[in-house]
Amino acid sequence: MKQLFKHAIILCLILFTSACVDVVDPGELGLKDQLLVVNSIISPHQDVLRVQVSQSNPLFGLIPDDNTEKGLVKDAVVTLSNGTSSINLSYSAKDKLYTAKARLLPIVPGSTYTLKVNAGKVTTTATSTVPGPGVIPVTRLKMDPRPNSGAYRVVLSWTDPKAQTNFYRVSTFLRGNKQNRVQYPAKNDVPAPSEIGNSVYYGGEEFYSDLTGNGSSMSARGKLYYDGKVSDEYNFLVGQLISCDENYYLYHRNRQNPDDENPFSERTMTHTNIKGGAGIFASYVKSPEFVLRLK
Amino acid sequence: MATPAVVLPTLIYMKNLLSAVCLALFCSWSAYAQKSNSFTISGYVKEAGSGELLPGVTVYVPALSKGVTTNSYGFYSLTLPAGKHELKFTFVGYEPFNKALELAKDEELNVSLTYAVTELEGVEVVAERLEKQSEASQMSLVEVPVQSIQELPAFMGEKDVLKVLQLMPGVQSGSEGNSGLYVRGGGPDQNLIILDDAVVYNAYHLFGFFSLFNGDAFKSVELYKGGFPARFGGRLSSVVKMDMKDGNKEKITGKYGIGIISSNFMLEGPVQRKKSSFLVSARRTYLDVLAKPFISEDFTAGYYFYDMNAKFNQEFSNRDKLFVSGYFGKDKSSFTDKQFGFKSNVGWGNATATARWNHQFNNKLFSNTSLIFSNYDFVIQQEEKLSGQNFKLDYNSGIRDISLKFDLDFFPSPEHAIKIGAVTTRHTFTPSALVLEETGIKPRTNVQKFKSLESALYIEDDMRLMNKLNLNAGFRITHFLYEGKSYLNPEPRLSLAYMLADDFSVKASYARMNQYIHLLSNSGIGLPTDLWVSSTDRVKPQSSQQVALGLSKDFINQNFSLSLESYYKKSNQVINYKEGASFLVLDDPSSTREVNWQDNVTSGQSWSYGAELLLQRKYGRFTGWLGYTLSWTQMQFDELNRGRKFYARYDRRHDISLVGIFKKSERVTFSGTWVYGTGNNFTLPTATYRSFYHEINGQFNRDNRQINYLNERNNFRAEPYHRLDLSVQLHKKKKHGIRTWEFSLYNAYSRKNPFFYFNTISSVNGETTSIIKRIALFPILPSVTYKFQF
Repeated sequence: MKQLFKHAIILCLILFTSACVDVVDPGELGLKDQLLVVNSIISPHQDVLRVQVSQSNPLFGLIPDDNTEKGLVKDAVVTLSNGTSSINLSYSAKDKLYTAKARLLPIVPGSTYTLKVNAGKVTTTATSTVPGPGVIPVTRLKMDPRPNSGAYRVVLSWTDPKAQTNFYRVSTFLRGNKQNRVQYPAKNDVPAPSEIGNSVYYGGEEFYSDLTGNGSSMSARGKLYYDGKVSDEYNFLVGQLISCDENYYLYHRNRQNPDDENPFSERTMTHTNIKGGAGIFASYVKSPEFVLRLK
Repeated sequence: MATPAVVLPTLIYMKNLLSAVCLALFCSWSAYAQKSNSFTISGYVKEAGSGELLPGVTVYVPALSKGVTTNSYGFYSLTLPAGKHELKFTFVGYEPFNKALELAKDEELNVSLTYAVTELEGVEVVAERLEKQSEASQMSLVEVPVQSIQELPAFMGEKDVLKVLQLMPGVQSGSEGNSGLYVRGGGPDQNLIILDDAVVYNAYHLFGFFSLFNGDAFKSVELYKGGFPARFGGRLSSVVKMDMKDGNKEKITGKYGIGIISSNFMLEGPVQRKKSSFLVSARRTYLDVLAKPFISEDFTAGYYFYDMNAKFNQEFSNRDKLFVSGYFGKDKSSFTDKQFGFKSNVGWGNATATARWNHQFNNKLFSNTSLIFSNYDFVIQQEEKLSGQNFKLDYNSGIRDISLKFDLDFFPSPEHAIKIGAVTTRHTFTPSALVLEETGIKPRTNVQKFKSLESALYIEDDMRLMNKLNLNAGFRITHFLYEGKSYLNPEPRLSLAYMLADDFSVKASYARMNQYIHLLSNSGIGLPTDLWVSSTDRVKPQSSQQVALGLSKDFINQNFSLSLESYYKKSNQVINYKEGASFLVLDDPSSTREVNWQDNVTSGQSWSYGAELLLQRKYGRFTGWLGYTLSWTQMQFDELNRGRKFYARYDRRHDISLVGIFKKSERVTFSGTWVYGTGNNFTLPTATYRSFYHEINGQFNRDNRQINYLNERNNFRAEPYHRLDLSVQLHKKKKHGIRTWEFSLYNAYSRKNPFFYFNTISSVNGETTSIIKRIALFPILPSVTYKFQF
């Protein structure tokens, strides 16, 4: 009787805890999309305009290997226009991109550009307005050691222009010749280039918008982790501000914080401004570098 | 915090309004009494043998076609012209009682009804006992016979009130095994669940698989889906009103049950015979105890829940009664790893307490005053001690209410039954309280606590006009105050039935509702992590308007009732988490950086519409119902799904339930339920491609991260859900009571109903494939329960 009771308990526990897991045919569930993926970021600072065109893969099925050629679309017609004139970008097998010299269609702050891609029966369009006119400079860059933490607190500030919605991305990094280290082998006696050191960690807050503080002074606060005294090894801390359009901001935030691994997180729709496809067409303008001398 | 400067004028305003309404009613009643040569019969209706007060009993004078029903405390008052009258007292499941009397003065008549142990099939008896559904002005009301909760098959043998409600048309379950109620497109947060007047905030055990209510201690269970009477408010979609038994005033009785995952008992009896009584019931699961032998000593894990109900009542006189009741329940799970010095506890639970004082001013005026306490909290404790490094985390969230409520029942004439009342509740919200201690780092504390005041005044009149029109008209005014921000909203209510024939009516209703407190939930399945928060200046109250139209027909000789209802509900300012947000608002727990929950939510609107059919047989050896719902629920938020409308997760086009209970003899009862529902909606990606990332130094990168392309919220509808549950109960009279063995099968044909889908990677013969998998939780699950009632 005792044995019977024990077996009954085990059977109940197994039944209770054994969830059934089945593989389902995705075709039956209608979960398939074939998308033309178009990616391009334009800026007045670029010498070359670049557009990447590829095909999406079905979510379910054989996963392609790491071959970067896989899915690339090489025979599309790619056109970029500013409303009055337009250029066609041609495919470069070396870069695996559609490219054109920027001087053929200069990217001007404040202007709107349209990107059109035609690949077989699929045509996608997207527009982007380059932030501007005018460059928003960094007004302050400050670095203080955080006691007993092996880190420095870094603050980068700027003034947000009034009467317009702005989007930003910040970047701060160390530059200089690291001492106590073997320099790059000098080639033909040319001095070694400056080294780029650690970047400041903004804790996932690299992208900003002024939706809640239009026209005010804005700051990004980050941490620079460094084992030792930074000024012993680097000469400069360099701060940079990117003014970007909304699509640049939304796409990168979306990509930076994928929520598909957190079951308690509300699912986020993939951001795209490519009509008829997926991907991103966006623009930005860079501020001049703000350099903080460390010693 | 509500400031006295703002609260006092509001309370004074409400008090004045209530006084004015009472004065007007008193004047109209006096005028009525002077005009007519009428007398009043009043009293209480109780259950014979236990003294339990019976609410909802029909007291009817067939010759005059006039009648009333007893209120929640079994009180009735009927004013009739002088002369001879025959009164009929009828109630579901009880033998009818007739009384002839000569009315020459006001009379007090207390009646005891006998529980009909043996159901008879005689047409005459049934016809007499039947309360006609078509006559009631109230529509969209589901009254669940408490007995049927005990007779229907249940998941793992655990009887569950909310799961029986899910079998009614217009009420849907969420996912497999879940007790959450989705009423006419509303979420579980939009249901007002009240137990003896106390609001229950999280009505679920074990992540929603069981509700707090096993029905053992209940006297009545009602669900309002629309046409809400003005006495109810505070939620958009439904009211679930549950009242506990008072306790047997005549003798000690009780029952106990032993199931495969829990045991329970209930004991009731007199403290002072016929004057006071008590009731105690409790339940505890023992999954933790059963699992213990299979877990090593270094590593322990366990889960259990328990709940307790208790009630005491004292009858000081026929005019004054006191009721004190309470509920206390807890879920607790723990995990310990001695080797790594790790200990974790997660617990959540509700506690409610209600003290009610009934006072009968005269034979027409009855009052109830309630003082109510309700508390819900959720706690996570985590401790780690390894190599001199200590880490300790305490997190809790919750809500606590203290309410004062006053209700008046006034019966001026058989044509009018008036209810007036006021309620005020102080809410204390703790969205998050976090204490963090770590070796070498200063302890950090982040506590968010807010208070708000919610008040309401109401008046409703249940009218019977021209023998054709039964109408319940009401008005509720609600006020909410949070940190100086106040909201004042009127809520008109109307519900009517127009008799097209003796047993056939057309019904209509309108209700406007406001909801000042909101539940933040990612899962929608009633997880303890779901968070109650207040309306603020930024997060506005939710509101809804619902209209319903229906037909109701009683087939008296065939012992059936049929209702067909259609509804349209529009809700505004419904809230949801923003995309990417989650309940753990701390991105980096080590920083305890304060994140305002208001930044994580967004508000929008929803539309629900549909039709419901209910064919029900309430009496006899074979009882049950067929329910069918056709419905649509859509939502729109500016910040979700790119602003486009989308179907709600639990939007369900078709929902069918077939329920039957067959009492073959006094010794054997068979029961079965079959449910079918269109599949739930899920959000799943439809394509994948290599991510692109712009490096700030200008490189053009197509990196190795894959983007799983999500274009539409709830874009994918799962396969339909259907399930058959069966049960047989074998009763036997023993020397000291009745013993029952119950054998049941959950999911009798082992349908693999989808619980959720996920995509994963499979590697076979060197080829890597992305596949989609379906999780089906419960195959066929047999269970056995032993019960003894004495």
